[in-house]
Amino acid sequence: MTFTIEVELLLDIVLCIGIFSLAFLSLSTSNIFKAVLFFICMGLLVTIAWARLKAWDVAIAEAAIGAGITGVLLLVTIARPRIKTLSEEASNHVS
Amino acid sequence: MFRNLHSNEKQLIQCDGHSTIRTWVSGSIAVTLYMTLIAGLISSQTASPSLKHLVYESLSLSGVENPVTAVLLNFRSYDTLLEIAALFSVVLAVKACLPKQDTAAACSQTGISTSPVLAHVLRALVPLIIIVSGYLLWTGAYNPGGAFQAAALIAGAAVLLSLSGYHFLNNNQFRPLLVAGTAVFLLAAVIVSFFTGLILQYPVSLAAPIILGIEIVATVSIAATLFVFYSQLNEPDHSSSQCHREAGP
Repeated sequence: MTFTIEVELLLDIVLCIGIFSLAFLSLSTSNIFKAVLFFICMGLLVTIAWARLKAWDVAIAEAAIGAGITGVLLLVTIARPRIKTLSEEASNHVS
Repeated sequence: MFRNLHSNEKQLIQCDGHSTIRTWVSGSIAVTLYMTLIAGLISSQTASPSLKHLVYESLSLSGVENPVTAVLLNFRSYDTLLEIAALFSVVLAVKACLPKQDTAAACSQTGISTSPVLAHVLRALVPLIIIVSGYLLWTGAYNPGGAFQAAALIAGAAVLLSLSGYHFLNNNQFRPLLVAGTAVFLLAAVIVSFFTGLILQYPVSLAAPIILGIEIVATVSIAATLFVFYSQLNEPDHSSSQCHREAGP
């Protein structure tokens, strides 16, 4: 039997696999910087997914806000000095 | 900004030895849920009448030609009003609860490492971004586009400018911009009620200019809101006059 694979179906399958694997990688890495970068890459793939669903307005918004604003906010958040937990402050006072 | 990220690499967030059983159980539950959703999607028929026909039939009454903009700003404008009000309350919370960086530490920074490449590129890029976002705002009535997309572009341009050292926006200058979107939308909602009897019921002949006016003010307001989210996190405090930071070259 011969299967004709349409290019669009292939693109959709690649997008699905890419989005899910990037999401899983973003949640499972131990380095927080890598997690944010995976999230930004996932935002790019989700933009293409919105375009494939013919939701053009959402695709433009996802491209600008998902990668541009949310990605920058996450990067800036992890670059701030880390807030100490109460137990760490107590141990700092004792030592 | 990116210099700080290297120093934080020592403070990695490690998973403390999660058990493999927990991983397998949660993974199988997630996969089962996902398969159920996909099966439901594939086997469902569109039983309900689609709203697309209703939207396209009433499109001429809405004042715009793009069905997405018609739904967002005319048919379901109440939802958009609440959305802009929700953004406004979030920016109030951000300004109140997220303290800016310590002024002394900020003054001791001799200056952000502004790369000349970024400054040069931005000289050409920022005017283009402003033009493109103005185009997106205007073309939201006819093509995909609209106020949110234009606002996100302007906010991105403002973040780029801030990253290249142009701390040009004072905190106090921002307040009327943040309020304007919600205020103008509410005013428009109430004023049209004097003419048509229902709030947010635009008169059909005036619907297009009303929508455009609301979109213009909403764009500026949402762009200011998104930029305040960023600047509360990253920029030093400008309202105190202890250290003088002037705009870069």
